[in-house]
Amino acid sequence: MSRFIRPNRSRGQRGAIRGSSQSRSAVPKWGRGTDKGRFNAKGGSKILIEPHRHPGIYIAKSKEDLLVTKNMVTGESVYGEKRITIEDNLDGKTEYRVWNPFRSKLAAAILGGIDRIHIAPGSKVLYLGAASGTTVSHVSDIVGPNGLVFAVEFSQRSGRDLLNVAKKRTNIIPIIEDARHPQKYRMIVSMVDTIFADVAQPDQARIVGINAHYYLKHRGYVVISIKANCIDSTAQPEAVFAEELMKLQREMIRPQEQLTLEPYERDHAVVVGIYRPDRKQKYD
Amino acid sequence: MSEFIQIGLTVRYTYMPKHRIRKKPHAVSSLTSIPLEEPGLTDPTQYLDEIDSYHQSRTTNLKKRASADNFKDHLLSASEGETSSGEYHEREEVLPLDLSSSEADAEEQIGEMREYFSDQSEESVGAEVGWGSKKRTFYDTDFVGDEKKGQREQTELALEEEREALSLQKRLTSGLTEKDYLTHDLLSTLSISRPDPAYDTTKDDNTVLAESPELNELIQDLQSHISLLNSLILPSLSIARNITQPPSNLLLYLNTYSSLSLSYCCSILFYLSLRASGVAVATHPVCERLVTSRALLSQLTVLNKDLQPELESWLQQKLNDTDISSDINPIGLNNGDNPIENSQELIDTVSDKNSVTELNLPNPATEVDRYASLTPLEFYDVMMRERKERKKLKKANKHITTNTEEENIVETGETKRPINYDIKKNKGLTPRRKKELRNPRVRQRMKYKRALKNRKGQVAGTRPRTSLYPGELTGIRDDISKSRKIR
Repeated sequence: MSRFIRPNRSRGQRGAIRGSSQSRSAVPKWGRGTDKGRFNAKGGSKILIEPHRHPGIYIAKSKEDLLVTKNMVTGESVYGEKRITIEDNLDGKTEYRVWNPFRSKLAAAILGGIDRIHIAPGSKVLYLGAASGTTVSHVSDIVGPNGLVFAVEFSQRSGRDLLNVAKKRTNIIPIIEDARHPQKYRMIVSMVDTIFADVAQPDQARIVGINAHYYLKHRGYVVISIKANCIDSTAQPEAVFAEELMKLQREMIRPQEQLTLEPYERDHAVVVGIYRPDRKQKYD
Repeated sequence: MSEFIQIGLTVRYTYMPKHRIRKKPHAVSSLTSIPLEEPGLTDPTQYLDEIDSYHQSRTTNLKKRASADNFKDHLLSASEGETSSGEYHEREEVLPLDLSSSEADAEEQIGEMREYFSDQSEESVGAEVGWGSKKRTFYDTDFVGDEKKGQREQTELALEEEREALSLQKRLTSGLTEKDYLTHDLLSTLSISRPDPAYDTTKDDNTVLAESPELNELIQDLQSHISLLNSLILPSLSIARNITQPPSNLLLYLNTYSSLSLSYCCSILFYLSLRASGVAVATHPVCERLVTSRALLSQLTVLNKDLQPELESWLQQKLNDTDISSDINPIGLNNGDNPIENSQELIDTVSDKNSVTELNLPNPATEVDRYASLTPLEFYDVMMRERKERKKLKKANKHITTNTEEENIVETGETKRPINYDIKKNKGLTPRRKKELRNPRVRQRMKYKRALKNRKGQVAGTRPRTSLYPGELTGIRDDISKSRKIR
């Protein structure tokens, strides 16, 4: 059950090929038996689970590939997504949840080929704009039992759903507050490794900046989804993205990479930045 | 008439000073005694100031002089009988008047008026053809009153014209000689088309005969065969066909002979035409055909000797007989077994040989007899063999014809290389253009198509969001980073 390593790729390849590393071990930990991670789905087709480049994320290979995360709460769907159960001799049942890129900006960014998401098992994440907790549930899957997700959502209605998700998942701490006033939840939130923001507000950069000043560790990372229409519907998307980058820099966040979310979303971009980096040091 | 003139004048009042116009009647009055009344303005002193009167006097003097000249000229030309207004006009223009431009214009106007009057005077001579002042004098006058007279005049005129044209032609052609039609060199080359009676043709004949001695004989054969066919064979054949129950042997003979001799004649004619066109005939298949036809005909001559007198008498009898009864058989044709069998044999040989003549002698009875004795297997074999042979023959014939065509081209030698496509289409130095450029609309369409393709590579479009997410059809590549790095 080795990973597909295609050494010669010349077509359709814009980014750098990531070299093989220890993190992408050829044999997943649960698949050492004779029927290594093989699974008969409802339709009877065989599904092969492979770990993604980003730790904590997996790819379910079948006729169509799916992005999946390992379900923390076995047997439960958060928003009616499909689940894939794999029976293993060693680990017993393992369940994976399908991550729909049309519903989650983070999934779209991953499928679009973002270089780093800075969300890994064990990391603490401040999630601004958690909404109903669809993406938050997947983030909680990724960070696992050792990680923490502080999910901030202002809307009461969405907050209710979020609370329901958090009930089942112990690593989610729901906060129904306005992200513009981070001091209001200063008693709950600890220092975090990464801030993920999907707030879709015109003053998005400022919101992220304030939260970073409060809770983000130095050299921590910020992953922001920017919807161009929400910032300035009259300007060109590219111009809006550039403007946002400038604003982030003013908040001491150095943008590292940018990715548009086509074909899943129109005029959306995900920007990854580093907070208070060392001026002379280079980060990749 | 006076009305007409007055209208003209009133029109002119609108853009001409009145004192100028007043001069006209003076100038013309001697020619036409038309009184021109001008109501009110009789005394020029009433409306002219000092300067005007000076200019007027100056112009009147000049005009008097000029009009006197013109009048003289006019009279002169009228006496010569060539009064043309154009000429008159020319003369007028030449007049050395030192008038200003406006005065010259005025003079012109006056000239026109005068012209008009002079025309009127001329037309008064032949008034019945010319334009009158009254509408009914020239509307509906086309031979209404005296139609027959008009027609007669017309026909007479036409006849006269014809006569004159003929005489003219005669006069012209009488002056022409042979040289006028053709140049001398051309005439010499066209000696055939315009034979000189004094030219000795025997010399040419000799050369032709020396080249091909068979020609004379062939021509004689052709003549004799055609005459025989016309006089005897074809009439009797038509009669035999009309008879309700013709004796089969008679029909067979007639058919055979007529088709043989016709094909022979045809071959001869083709041969002659080939000769005339200057194509080498020695290797042509028509020669072979000629020989075979001739041989077959010569075999038939034995029959002919016996049969033709009988046939003649039979034909005569038939022609004389008004009511043709079906049961009358030609004498000897039915009971004279020997010649008929001969003919039958002959036909068999012809069909067996599959000769080039390919005589179509349908005789189903004999065919059936031929194959009656055979067993089915043998019959099959025979049929297959014949079919094969026929095919082979066809192929061979085709080959021969194509060969000869090529030879013809080679042997005539002077055939020119055909022009190429560019010359044919008169392309000149036009550069080659894409077919797409011919139609601007299509060009734009293609351009758009290409642009769309290019854009697809540059900008990723959005996929429509389906209710059920099926997964990534093209797979997930986790080892590629596509984001734009900002450093």
